[in-house]
Amino acid sequence: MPRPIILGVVGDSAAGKTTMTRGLVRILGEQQVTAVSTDDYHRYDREQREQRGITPLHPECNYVDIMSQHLRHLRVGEPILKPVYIHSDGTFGPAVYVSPKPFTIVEGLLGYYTESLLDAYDVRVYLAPPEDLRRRWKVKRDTSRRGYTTDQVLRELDKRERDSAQFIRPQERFADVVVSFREGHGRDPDALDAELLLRDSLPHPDLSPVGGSGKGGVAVEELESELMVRIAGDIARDQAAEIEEAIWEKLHFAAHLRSERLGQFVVGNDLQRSASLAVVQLLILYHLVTAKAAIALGGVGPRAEAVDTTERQAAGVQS
Amino acid sequence: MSPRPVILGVVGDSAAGKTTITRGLVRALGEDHVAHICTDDYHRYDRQRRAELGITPLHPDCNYLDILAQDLAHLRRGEAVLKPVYRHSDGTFAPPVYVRPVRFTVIEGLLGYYMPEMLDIYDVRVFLNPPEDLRRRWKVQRDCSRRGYTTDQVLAELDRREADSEAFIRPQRRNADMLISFRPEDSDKDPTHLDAELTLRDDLPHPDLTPFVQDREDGLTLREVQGERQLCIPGRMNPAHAAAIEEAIWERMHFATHLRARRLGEFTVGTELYRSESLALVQLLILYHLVTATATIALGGDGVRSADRAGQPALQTAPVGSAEEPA
Repeated sequence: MPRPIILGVVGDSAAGKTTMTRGLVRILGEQQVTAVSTDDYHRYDREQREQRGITPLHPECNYVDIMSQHLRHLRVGEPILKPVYIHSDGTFGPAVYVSPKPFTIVEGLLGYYTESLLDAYDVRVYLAPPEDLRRRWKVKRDTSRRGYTTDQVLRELDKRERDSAQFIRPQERFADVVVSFREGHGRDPDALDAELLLRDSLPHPDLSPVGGSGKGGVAVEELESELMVRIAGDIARDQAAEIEEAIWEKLHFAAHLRSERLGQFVVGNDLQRSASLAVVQLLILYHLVTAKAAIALGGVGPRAEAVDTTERQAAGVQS
Repeated sequence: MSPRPVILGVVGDSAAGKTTITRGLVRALGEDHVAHICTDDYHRYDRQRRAELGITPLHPDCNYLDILAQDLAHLRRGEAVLKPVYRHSDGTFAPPVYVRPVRFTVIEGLLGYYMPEMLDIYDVRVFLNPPEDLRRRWKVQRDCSRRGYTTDQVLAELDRREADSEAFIRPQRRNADMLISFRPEDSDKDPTHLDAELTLRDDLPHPDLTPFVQDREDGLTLREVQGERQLCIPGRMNPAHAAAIEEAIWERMHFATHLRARRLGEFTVGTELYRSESLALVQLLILYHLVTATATIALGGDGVRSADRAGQPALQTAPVGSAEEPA
């Protein structure tokens, strides 16, 4: 088996990591994906964190060294014995054996914290929703699924702010793709806009033919070494389809992945679909599938090639 | 950066005396300087699951040997690991614990020499090989008193394990540098005076004990058998003689005199503390290798094993005939 493709999905607590990851797992197929949450690498359980006055966002509160050790094993196709943190009661369980599969998705708070971690990923995504939206998401989730009260969650958010600013948010600069879902200006308040920052650390598909002027819900803006893509939450169906089609065309060798499941997410027990989420997931999928194809053909992965290109350009070499 | 840890393997069947040997060494080296890893922690199935599957903990498939090999390699490089935890008291698993590399690592367990890629990790490889009837007695004693089994259960378990012992555990003997058998004298069941029979293999440079070999019943005997040295330390060794031998070994470890304060050779039966002269001497021989390996590594070498020594730079010699070559 060629080595697994590793995707990082990093962001603050309740930034939407699991929603993003779960969607990708559904599309790629559970048998194809190892999903690892870095919360499992917490050093202290909930009670110990309370006693020590340390937040899970602090690097000292996590076995960052073990995280990167395990990631390196997965990257070369070796199994790991992964620790288990139980969110429902904040304690640890026995370790579980995880075999490598074609794709590994690592989601968590500090996934890009050290250089050795950074080197492990083929694709690095960072989720950066506006703070007020993230706070609302966190209250909703932690009160419904992690057994906290609203007051506890709000107090916890305040307690974490310093570490968020110091350790979590600075990781944004290492991402190939920065994703911000934000409240739309359209009629439907649930239809979130997606703002994508595409950095040239990876070769992204060319979206300019479908973007351009911003009419009908897509705007593409070229910045210095980044591309800013805005997708309106209430984008017209046919235009969303046009973008998706443009990306799928470049993924002709992965046509079997085409499915209706892109963009699905759950609120409570309610399955919903977001057109902007679908486009974002498809873009990430594009990178995963491209990386896999590059490695199957004997390459080292898209990142190294992107770096090569940059270096070549920097050295003034014409291609 | 601190030098890499020195790694000792203590392998043998269940109740072969691994913990007794290890505990004395850990005390001698100082608990803060030893990471003690028991490979039972790498069991794949808990006790209940093993019963359901009809598999014994001695079977390689019942253990995450791949993960064990990974962790050993990390420790040897001086990296920390997150070690799984198996609880013997109730046969279940607990959350893993973080193990920092320290000066010495002792790996104790059933299948430590099973995979060829594991072998190179050890600086010193000990295999414990007591006679089966003695090991059975030890196992009944321990499992009934400390692991909550009845005598019948232990005996039934021993029978059930025999095929796997034969297939997987005992063949590991061939990979040991020191093969150690404690055995009772013919007429005597006194646990404080077990003879120790050692097979010393040439992969490690063992200290020369020939000056102490005397033709007497309470002294050392040393034989060459098929290229291996067999050393017998009688359980009832003359104390003055034993002291002289220990002194000679300590002398060769003059750089580690701070370790001398600790008492070797202690063991417990139930809650009683005993001391055995032969056990002390065996532990001292192992200690000699550990301390020598540390010193060698501190001086820039790879280790004391012949394979490690082979990797060290040798004297450069001119290629034969090079002088005669025409200009």
